[in-house]
Amino acid sequence: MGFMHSMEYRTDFALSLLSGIFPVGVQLFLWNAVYGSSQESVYGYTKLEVIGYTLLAALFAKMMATGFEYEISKDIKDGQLSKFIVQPIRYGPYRLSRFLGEKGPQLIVLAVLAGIACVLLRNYAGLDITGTGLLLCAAALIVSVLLNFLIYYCLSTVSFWLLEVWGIFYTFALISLLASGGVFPIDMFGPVVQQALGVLPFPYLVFFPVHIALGRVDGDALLQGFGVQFAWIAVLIALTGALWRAGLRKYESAGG
Amino acid sequence: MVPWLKEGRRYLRIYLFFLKNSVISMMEYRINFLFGILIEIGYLAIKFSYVYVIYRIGVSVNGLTPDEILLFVGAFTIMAGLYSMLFHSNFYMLPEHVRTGTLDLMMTKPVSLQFMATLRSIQIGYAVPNVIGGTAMVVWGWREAGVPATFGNVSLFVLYLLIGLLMTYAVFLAPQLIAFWTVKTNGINEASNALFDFNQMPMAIYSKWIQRVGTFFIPVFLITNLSPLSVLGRLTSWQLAWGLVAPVVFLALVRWIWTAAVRNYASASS
Repeated sequence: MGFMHSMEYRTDFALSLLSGIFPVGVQLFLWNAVYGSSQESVYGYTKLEVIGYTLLAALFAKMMATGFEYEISKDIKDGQLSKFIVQPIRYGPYRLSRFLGEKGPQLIVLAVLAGIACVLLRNYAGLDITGTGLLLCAAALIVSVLLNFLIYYCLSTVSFWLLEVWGIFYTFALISLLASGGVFPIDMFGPVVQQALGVLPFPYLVFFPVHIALGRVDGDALLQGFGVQFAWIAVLIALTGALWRAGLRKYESAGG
Repeated sequence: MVPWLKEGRRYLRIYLFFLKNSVISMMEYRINFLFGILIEIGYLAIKFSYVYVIYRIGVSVNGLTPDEILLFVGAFTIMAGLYSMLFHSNFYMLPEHVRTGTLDLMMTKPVSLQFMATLRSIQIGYAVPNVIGGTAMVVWGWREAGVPATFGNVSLFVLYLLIGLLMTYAVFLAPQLIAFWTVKTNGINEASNALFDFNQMPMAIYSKWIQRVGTFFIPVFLITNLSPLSVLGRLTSWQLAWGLVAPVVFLALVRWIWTAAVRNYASASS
């Protein structure tokens, strides 16, 4: 059902992809100018690596775009959630399957585009992108999409306590884009910021998969990255469960 | 001269009413006001990340030092705030007014339709973080770049910001007017907003051709580049002259398109 829904709005998706090209264009020109001033490498990135990062990060950040948090908030506000209390469907699995159904086609298109970008970067720009790297990157992205779902599912529980939440969701998405490395590689913000962000789930959404694809993460760092991803998934499942239960008590008392 | 002046004062008075109405609706929907500020703080963080990265790299980019670039980003941030405060919501709603026919209602009012339809709503919330943040960036960059803070320089900077505001009106209203012919303009909206973001960085980073297109054909670069260029003493005499002529040309052009568009609208609905 979600799949059909998203096919209906495919022009929207195409347009949002197109508008995503412009910021990437600005950044590519910026890097071109920065490296034009006789810079060999900036923070350990060669010019080609940073171009590769910019392209892949833009595509991966699109994979992390959501929208269901607004629907959850609407369900809570309108009382639609009550349906799920009497019906034998649990809300979480319903949201997840609907999200995956809607997101599926987009993810496939974005993955194909990322694949094309990788092939071009390897063949024409000579970047060290390997098959193993891409497989690991794909695995990391699958975990990232789930992790990202949980982040927004957890965030959406604020709707139990606040009537109006759209501004919070929107701002959160902007900050998440910045903190996940969707604008700049987070190691360019300096070691202090990078370490601070490293304990949060965000860098593992975009920065981590891109770095795997570019062959900049291996061995221990790779295992550690996956470890943090799974740890955050566990934490968020527990946290969301607790918040959801607390929220439902509030919801029922408001409804009855 | 006198009737012209009288008309001007009448419009100024009406504009103050628009402002008053906007303040009232802002107080009524306080949460929207707060969320507007919150969202713009998010965008401000992203704009600031560009500055931060450039400072950390610490090299001149096409002849501009990080401090000078900060001046450009500051001007862009101020202008983004003013654009979203004064024009954006009006321009955004315009296709909707055309589609649903609420424009008919505005037509009956005894003021210019263009004035009414494109300037009525003023969103103060969206401007607050950008104007404060942008001004802070300009002040900082100004001092660090060693630009003398003379009265002349400051008025030059403000003058080109005002010119930029006029250019913003002309350049970003024009694409919305396509709605009079096509009704749906979602894609155009997204694309033209993305064009605005090209000013995120000084125009000097782009290739010569893009600079020319952005100066003469789709003059987005005139919006935020002239202020910093003028106080840095980098404005060529060409840019100086064109900066003064372009607002007149493009405002006349958008007025002309508007008249044609409204003529088309009237004939379509009857």
